[in-house]
Amino acid sequence: MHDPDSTPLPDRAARPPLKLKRILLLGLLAPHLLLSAQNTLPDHAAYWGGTGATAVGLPAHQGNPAGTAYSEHRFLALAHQNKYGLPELSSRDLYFLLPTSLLVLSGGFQHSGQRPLQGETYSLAAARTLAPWLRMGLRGNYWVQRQQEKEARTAFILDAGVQYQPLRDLSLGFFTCNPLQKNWSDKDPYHPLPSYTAAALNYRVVEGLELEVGVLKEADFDASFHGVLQVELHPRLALRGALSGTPLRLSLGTQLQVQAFYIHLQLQHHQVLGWSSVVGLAWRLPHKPQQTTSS
Amino acid sequence: MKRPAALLLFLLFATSLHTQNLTSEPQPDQQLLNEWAEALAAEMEEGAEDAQHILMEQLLQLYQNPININTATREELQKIFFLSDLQIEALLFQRFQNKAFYSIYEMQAIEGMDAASLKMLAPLLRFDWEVQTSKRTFRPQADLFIRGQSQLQTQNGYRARPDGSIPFQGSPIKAYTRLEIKALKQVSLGLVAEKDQGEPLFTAQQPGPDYLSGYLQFQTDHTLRKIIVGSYKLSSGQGLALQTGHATLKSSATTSIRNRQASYAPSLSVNEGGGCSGVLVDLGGEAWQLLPFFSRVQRDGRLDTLEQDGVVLRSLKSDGYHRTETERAQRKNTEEWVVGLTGKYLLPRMTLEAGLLHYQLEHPLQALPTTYNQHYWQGRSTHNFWLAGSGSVANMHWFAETAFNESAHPALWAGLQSLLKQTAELALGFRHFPLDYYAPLGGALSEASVPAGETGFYVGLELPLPAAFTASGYLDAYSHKAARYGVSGPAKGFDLLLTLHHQTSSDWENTLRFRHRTKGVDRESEEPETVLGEQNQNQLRWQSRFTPGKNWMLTLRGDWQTVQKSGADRLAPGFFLSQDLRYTSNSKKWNVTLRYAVFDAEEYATRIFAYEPDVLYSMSTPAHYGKGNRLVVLGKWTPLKGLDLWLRFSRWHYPGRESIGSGYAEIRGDKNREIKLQLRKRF
Repeated sequence: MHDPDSTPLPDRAARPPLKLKRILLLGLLAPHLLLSAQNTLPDHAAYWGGTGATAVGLPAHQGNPAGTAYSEHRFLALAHQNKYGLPELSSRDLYFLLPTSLLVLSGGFQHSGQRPLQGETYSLAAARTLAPWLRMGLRGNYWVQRQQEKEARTAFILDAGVQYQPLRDLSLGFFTCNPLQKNWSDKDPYHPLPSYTAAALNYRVVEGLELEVGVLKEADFDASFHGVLQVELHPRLALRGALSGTPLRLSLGTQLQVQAFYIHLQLQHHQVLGWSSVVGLAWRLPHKPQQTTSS
Repeated sequence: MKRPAALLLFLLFATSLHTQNLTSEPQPDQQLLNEWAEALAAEMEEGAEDAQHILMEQLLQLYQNPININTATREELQKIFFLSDLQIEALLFQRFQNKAFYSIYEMQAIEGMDAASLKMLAPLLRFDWEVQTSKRTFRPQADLFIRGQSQLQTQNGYRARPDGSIPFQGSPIKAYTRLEIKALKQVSLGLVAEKDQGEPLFTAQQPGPDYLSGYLQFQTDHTLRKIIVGSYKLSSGQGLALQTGHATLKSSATTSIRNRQASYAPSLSVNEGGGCSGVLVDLGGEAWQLLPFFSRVQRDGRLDTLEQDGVVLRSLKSDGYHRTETERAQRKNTEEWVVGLTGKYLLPRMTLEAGLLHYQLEHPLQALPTTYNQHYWQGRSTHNFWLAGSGSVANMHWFAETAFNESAHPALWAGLQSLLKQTAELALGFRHFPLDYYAPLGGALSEASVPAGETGFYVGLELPLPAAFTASGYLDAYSHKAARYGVSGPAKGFDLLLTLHHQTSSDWENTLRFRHRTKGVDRESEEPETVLGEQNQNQLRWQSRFTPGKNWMLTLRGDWQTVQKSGADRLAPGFFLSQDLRYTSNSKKWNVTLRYAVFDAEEYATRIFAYEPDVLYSMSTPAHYGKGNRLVVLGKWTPLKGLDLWLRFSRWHYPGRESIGSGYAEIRGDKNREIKLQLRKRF
């Protein structure tokens, strides 16, 4: 609210347009984003909390591709992420999970940002259960970035991961996103392609209670340690809490199943950058469950 | 597994066969052998690649020539690296009571022996209960290794200077070949040749390989038991005066501090900075041994010509590189002679040793004076004399050595190992090196590589806990009386290692290791005068190894390291994370290993050493320094019986860098790739 004793506001016509103000704000924030660790916020950490290394089923789409091999059902899902309250950093996802007799295929499309800077990511992953205790997966991602009045630039990166289960209630996961640390062709430091490696241990304490601890190392930042606790209050309702640092990030989420639909809500608070939120909806397609057999 | 740390102690218990006999027994499971070697080498201390190589070689020889458990002497049992001294004594006592072991299962009654240890032991033993020598028909055998490796990027050393000359005289290919032949029952011989990267080969200045060595061994059943002509290694007592194989080092086997290297063995080591070459004779009977030896080796030295003293030796080189004109001018330019005698007398529960040696250089050693070398030995010749003993009293095993040179004061290493309450193992050790003590062929356990002026006290403990846990650790407190490199004055320090091992299931084990080191270092200061300060280093490591069935092995490892020096800000911590995947085919004819690691250790002090998969007989424990990732792909294939092929590709990637390395080793770009090929043929 304007203080009448202060100098008068400049004329509305003289104020910078709203879009330009957002770009300037983004530009001011950009160095801050770079200096704060974990600013690229790997998708799984944003969507579900944790590193994603031991994620299974649908959540593995943003995390360890090996985890998708655990799926027996077909899914179609969409989600919206609002990162730090900035539309420029928000994203919208549409993805699928398709088990076949040989592999489990997953993939999707993500649209991020808004004009004048937008991004598109097309991904396709394949995973397989090689033994009852071993799953491996590989994912290809095709990135397109479009900036107004500039030519679009593209990049292709690979992700790979493995999950294994030494005990019935305990699994280990290791995956790497863009292990070759490829960047855009012009090596843009302000919009680098994500590159990180994560490892985690997931332990089912009792039925309905899981604990995960892990570490995530992004290319240009210090390693961060993650802890996740998931509680299944009801076969159709799960709560999930995650804590990671540094910097400190607190995440709370819930997943509710209504018949063949799964509703996912997640809130995350970054120590420096503030709040992010995720809303997702997944539809389990009616189909006879397909089991991917091991070799 | 009761002694996981001891199982991983390749280094201290490096033994060698008294013979290079290649067995006429069926070939063992090479997959199992490789897994042992990797698991053991994975626990080595950083910078111990020479020792790892020797241990790897000895493990292979031991596996090919199993020990007869019912006739094995104490010395022969010491060849089994993961058997502690106390387990050996218990085994000998049990055999004395039972007369013979008929199978591995009977050995479960041995005090301190557990099922997991016996499972590791089984392929190394045979249970011949006939005392007579085996009457197996002898068959000549040979074992040939050929290896080549090369970096795919061009180092500065291969680029032409402005005047058109190229610093490195040879090609970037590193070549290695090794041949061992058991020609007759009494005769064996070996040959090894190596050319390092950048060294010339088949040129006018270097018609053959840069390094060529070998041995011829003849053995009999008489008093003159063996003669070795060529390269050999020696060890006596705790290595205060005589230890040419590799120095004894601290390791994860916290109660294994006694030197158990064999008295002598032929050597095919490619360590160009040490070892003996000449003649060694083994004279002995059942309870005694005399080893007269002579060695004449041409060493690399940095020579200087002084007006008054003539040609002097500033230092001896040990890296073995002869790539540039300067390095080639220093190649084998000074002779080193050693002559000596060592003897051993075996009593029922005690061994006594004594020896003397004379060491001489062609040119007198006269290093340029610095603050840290004021007490280093200088001169043309020196000699050592030593007395050593080891034995058992009740459930305690003791060992000690005192050694002399021209100094008035002797060096001392003494220790005690004991089995407490039939479960926990305790080791105590004390060492003292006078300031002016020097042993050119010595290699006893010490903190500093030049131990003169060091006094230390060591305590090690291994404790089995409930629920398949095993805890082990050591504390080593030491002091140095004089300045050393990077330490401008007398200083104290200590080294603490704690390991918790859990055999979670029959095919899954986890190890958590913490190490803290405090030592004196010079402070970083802008003042002209150096001030002594302190450096604190903390390392935390977790390793998880899962080996379900016979096809897969998965190893996950994470390291975290912090270093702080007094007077300076805490350095950015070092971080390392890796995943290994190994798959072996059902036919065991091929296997593939994949390693991917990320690391972030921007300070040199926080660099992290990590063992990585490599071809047989080639050990790799590189330092991960900087920020980047490491990829290793290793494949092995056995197309025919007796023929093995390996192919290894490795890559360092430092994103954002414009060059890697420095000086002649500098590479342009942010990637450094290497390829390695190896062939093994058994005849």
